[in-house]
Amino acid sequence: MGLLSGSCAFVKYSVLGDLPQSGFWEFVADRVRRNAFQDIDDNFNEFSIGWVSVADLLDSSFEISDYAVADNIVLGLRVDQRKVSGAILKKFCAKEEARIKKERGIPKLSRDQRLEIKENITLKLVKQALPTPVKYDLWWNLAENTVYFFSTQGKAQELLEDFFKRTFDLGLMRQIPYTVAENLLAGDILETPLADLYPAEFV
Amino acid sequence: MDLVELMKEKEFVGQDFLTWLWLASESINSDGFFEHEGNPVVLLFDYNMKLECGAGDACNQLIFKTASGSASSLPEIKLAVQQGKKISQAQILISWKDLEFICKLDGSLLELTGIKLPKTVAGDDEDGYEARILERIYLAEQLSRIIDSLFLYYLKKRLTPAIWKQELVQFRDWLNE
Repeated sequence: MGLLSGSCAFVKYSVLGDLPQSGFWEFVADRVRRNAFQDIDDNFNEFSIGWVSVADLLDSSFEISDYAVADNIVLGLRVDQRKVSGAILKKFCAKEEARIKKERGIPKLSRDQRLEIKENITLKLVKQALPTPVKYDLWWNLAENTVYFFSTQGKAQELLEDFFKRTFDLGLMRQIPYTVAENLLAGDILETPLADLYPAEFV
Repeated sequence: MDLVELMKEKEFVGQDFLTWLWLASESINSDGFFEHEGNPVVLLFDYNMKLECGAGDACNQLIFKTASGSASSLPEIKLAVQQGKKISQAQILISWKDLEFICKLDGSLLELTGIKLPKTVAGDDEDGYEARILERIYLAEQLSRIIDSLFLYYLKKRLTPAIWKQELVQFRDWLNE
């Protein structure tokens, strides 16, 4: 569902804050490099987030395709996460609880004991799980200072807003119909101010 | 007012726009009642649409699912609008110049999903990659600009009481046909 996919979806953001007056591309190169995606396939980290090429989620050094395309920046936001399904966790917790009850000869475990088992099992299973990769594309239109983000998922949008801020020290504000209307009407003087608009009655 | 509050309080802005867009394209002239950069924009609504009785949690959704392009649901949709329902989501085919876009437009957030941009011609080699990105960017931007232009066209009518009144008369006549 990304920029290059046959079918896609996007939302728009306004970029908040000032871009560097000089050395903009050096600034971008430095920030993208420092926040490029780091693989977690060979360690036990649960989560990793970083920039990759839009064309290839394995390309975090942008050797295959550049992020600078004319007056635009195109980036893939890769998120890898180790996840354990609820059903698997439940099964292994039940097995461990049964083992401990049998070993100690007790009929039931306390709430604290069950919580401790759950924590330990989660940790063990997360380490065994393979990280699932997801890539969300973004296109930063520098002429308009607008970001098009190719996902309508709330969770993905939260990740983008945080990571964009962390990378570029610039905020993102989601464009909603009312703020789009404010921008489109900027400078126009109409009989009814936008702020006085009320729901229309078509019948 | 923060963005979340603003979003909630002004949710009707996008829904009203989408409802107007459907009414305008059906009742006035679907073959280009509006121009974008000097070329007519042709809108064709699919009758797979979602209507609601208004913004808010207690809204009563009404979802139409018909074969793509089928007009058999038109009387039902007209009746729902006459009962005060507004369109909250619709799939639209937008033709402009020699380009055709298909997208699903969500009224409350003006979110675009299920977008099918016109096919690009650039190849997969290194030069082709940049050309392909630029083509896709151009097409996504055009789609966004067409929606923005339509939205501005609507806002100017909506915020000018005499023009809006005339517009409503046309819609009501068409709905009662």
